[in-house]
Amino acid sequence: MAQNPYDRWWQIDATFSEALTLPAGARAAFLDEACEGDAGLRREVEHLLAAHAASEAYLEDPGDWLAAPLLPGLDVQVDAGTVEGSAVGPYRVLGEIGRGGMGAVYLAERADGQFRQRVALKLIRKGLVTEDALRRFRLEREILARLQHPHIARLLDGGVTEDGRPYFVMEYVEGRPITHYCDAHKLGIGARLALFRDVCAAVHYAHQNLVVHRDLTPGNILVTEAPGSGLSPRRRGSGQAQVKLLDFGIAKLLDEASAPVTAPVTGHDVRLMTPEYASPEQVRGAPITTASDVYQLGVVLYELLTGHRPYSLTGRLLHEIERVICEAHPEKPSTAVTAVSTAADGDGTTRPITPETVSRARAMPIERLRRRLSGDLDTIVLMALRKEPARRYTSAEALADDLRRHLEGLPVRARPDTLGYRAAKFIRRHRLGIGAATVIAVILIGFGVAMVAQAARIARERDRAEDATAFLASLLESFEPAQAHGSLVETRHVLGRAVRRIRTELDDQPLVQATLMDVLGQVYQYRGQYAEADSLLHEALALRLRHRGTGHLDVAVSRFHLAALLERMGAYETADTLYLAAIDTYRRRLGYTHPDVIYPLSSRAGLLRARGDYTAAEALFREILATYAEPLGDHLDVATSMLDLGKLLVREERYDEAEPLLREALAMRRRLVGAVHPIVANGLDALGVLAMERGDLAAADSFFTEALGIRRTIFEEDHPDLAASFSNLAEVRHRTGAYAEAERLYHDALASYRRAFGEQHPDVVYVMRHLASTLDAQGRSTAADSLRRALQDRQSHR
Amino acid sequence: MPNEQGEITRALLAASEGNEAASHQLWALVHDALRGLAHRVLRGEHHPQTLSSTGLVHEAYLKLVDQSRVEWHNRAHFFAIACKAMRQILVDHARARNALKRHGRKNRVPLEEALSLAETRSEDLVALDEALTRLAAFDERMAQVVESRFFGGLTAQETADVMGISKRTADREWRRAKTYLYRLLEMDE
Repeated sequence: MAQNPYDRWWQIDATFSEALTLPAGARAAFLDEACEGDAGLRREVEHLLAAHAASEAYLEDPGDWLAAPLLPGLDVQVDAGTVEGSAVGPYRVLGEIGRGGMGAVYLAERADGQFRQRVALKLIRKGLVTEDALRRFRLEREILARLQHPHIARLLDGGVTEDGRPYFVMEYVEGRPITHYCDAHKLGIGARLALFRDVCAAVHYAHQNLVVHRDLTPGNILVTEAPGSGLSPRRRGSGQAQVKLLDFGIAKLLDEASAPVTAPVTGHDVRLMTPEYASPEQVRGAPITTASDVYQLGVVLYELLTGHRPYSLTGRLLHEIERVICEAHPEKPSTAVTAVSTAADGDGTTRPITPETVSRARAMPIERLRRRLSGDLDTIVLMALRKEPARRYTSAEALADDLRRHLEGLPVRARPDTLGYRAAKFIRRHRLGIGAATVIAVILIGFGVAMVAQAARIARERDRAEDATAFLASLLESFEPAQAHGSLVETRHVLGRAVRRIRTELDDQPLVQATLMDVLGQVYQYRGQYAEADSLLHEALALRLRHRGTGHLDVAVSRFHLAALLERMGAYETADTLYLAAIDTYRRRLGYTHPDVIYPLSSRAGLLRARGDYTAAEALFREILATYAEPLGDHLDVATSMLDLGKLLVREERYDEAEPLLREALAMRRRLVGAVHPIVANGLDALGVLAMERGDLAAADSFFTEALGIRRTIFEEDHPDLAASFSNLAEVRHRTGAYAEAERLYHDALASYRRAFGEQHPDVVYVMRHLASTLDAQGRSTAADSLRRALQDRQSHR
Repeated sequence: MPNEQGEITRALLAASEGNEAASHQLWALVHDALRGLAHRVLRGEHHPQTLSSTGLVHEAYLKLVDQSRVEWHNRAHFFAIACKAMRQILVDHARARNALKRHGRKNRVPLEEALSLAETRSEDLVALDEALTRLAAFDERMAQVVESRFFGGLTAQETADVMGISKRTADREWRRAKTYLYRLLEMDE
């Protein structure tokens, strides 16, 4: 650029100055005349006119340019006119507390002598009295006026100064950022969580008033020191230390279009957020919702628990920050506490965060802290920090509620990642020759018993085999796909080895043993290896009875698992006894109407049906639905009950009653777990059966085919459910006259069943009989007869 | 301090009479003193409420000049010098910051700072200073107004007093200056 951009300075200046004196509408005509034949002149004057309009607030606030970091601590009196002692309405300014995007906040006092109440007075910045800024300032006032909550700084008053600047007055909160407060008082995890839940309550309240905070950082979450409390522990609601949320200053009403977060650099709002607490959608400029606040709460929680922030952004460039926040996964809190990092304190200093400092600030040795955080707390925090807004907690209240459940020893709702999401994804990615079970088995080798113990702790709260598989599948995250190939034989080998190691290496930890056996038992059942499953689940139950006592929830869980297995195996009476015992304990420990009771109840109803007691089964199902369907909405257990009731009605030939139930159950399951999932296949089966009964073979074929497709994706060849799928489809094909296909399918079914159950199982017999029929239908009576003879022989030798 | 005050006052009086040597000396003394004040603030030793650009220049005047011996035109002279000095100090500091940043120093700039307006402003300030120098080539008066109002932190009235013009003129020049600076910086992008 030339040193002298204006070689005709005087001419440009004269033209520009004169144009300025004219009303905007008349300028064009004037320029036509004055700049005739001189396009360059006209262009530059037009630029200057535009610059004139744009520069009204330009340079009006030197403090903005010259203050920190150039002259930290300086700045403050930029608002010449608002100095110590000056009056703003009935308030007297005592000093500046801070500075925001739109104005400064001052400590002030009511000057009319009535009472010496100290307040925080927010005044719009002098150079910023533009239409846009005024509108935003008014908006902020309206927002604050709506929020009346003990944990939110209250709006007290508002007005306009003599020189036309609006201001509002808020409760003055003297306190420390929540993180500093907790560290200074060396609060343990429980106390920190209690404070944090108050924060969640405040945020939730704001959300219900359609206000999103957008800048939830520890600096905006203060804890007031209890008067004269020294180091006394926090008590709720008794006038002692309490949480106060500040600065809904950049809050935006949900029902207005969100402003872009990255404003033009020349504007005053570049720094709308503190980057380390920014959510992925804030960084990307995507619409901000309440989920963004949930994310920020997650970051604060992370820091409260571990002392570290989830991402280390110190010294990074802007585009790197974006990538880190939007893509990198944070370290689990329980692992993070053992790390070392540096934090920047905003006043220009940095300090190291080490396991020693973290441990001191929580009055707990680091190893104990690590254990305390692993499991539920890890899961809860990571759920709040998910990249996709839709996958976080749906509300601050839900987050607080899960923390409460954790503190009360109840199962939490957070899931690391369900089968329907992650395992299905993984399985789809690594289709060739591996089933989930094989992968799981290899994981057991790969990570050793310790890892399984970790996973098993989470499993303790789960009641379903699918979930057991799911959380183990969730270990796939850091797993090498290449290791996942394995033959069937090797898999059994591996599982067997794992069982042996559990028996020998964990002798001194019977409860861990019990948990692991429970998990492995479910894995075996999932794989269709019922004998091994039986042995392990029995052992787990025995251990728990011995070490927990008969009324403990863990024992109920074991009983329940065992009952489910025995039912599968056909031992109905024993299964029923176990179900009843488990249900009784669940009800006593969790309450009669607790959702976790549904699954045992509906399983028992299923047993009643399997046993032939349809009336009782139907009654029980209807009772379950009546109690739980409406309050819970979409819920796996509700879907299962619906499905089971539907199947029952099919058995009783009440087809029209059954169909809507089956359809809704399938739809609900699909909504909950996605399209590729064993339980979806089960749902399809039920509809297939219904169709068959009604004689609609085409529909039946389509349902069974889809179910088979799903199971082929998920299971290995020796899984009984896969066998059942073959068998179902075979039957349909047989009925439609496609005998050759049916025969092939029956052979597939037989092969699977034999591997799963051995020769004597009723299902094997069933298939063989049907196969014989198919052979007959093809006119191959010799083969059919010999098959039947073999069957008879076998049966007579029992 | 009293010695310094005596020295500066003498130099000021002489410089106002047109003594060139005294002018040089005055400049050096004021520049030094201001930089000292600014650095104390830089290190955070001053109470934030009592100082700003405005504060610094006024404070310097109160400290460095014996009020009993000067007249208003001396005061104006002092302020003009002080504003110029202030400009130089601030821009030098900004340049130093930029250099440090490029050479990746030991104590790195914390993230908040890196992203804050002011960090960007550090570079903007140097650019602004250069634009101001170019502007001075066209119109000395506009440049001086900017020095007084922006770098010196003087009010509109004080600026007018220092420059010996009416407040209305000072305001108009300020407005024009801002437009030209805005445009000059825009052209650079």
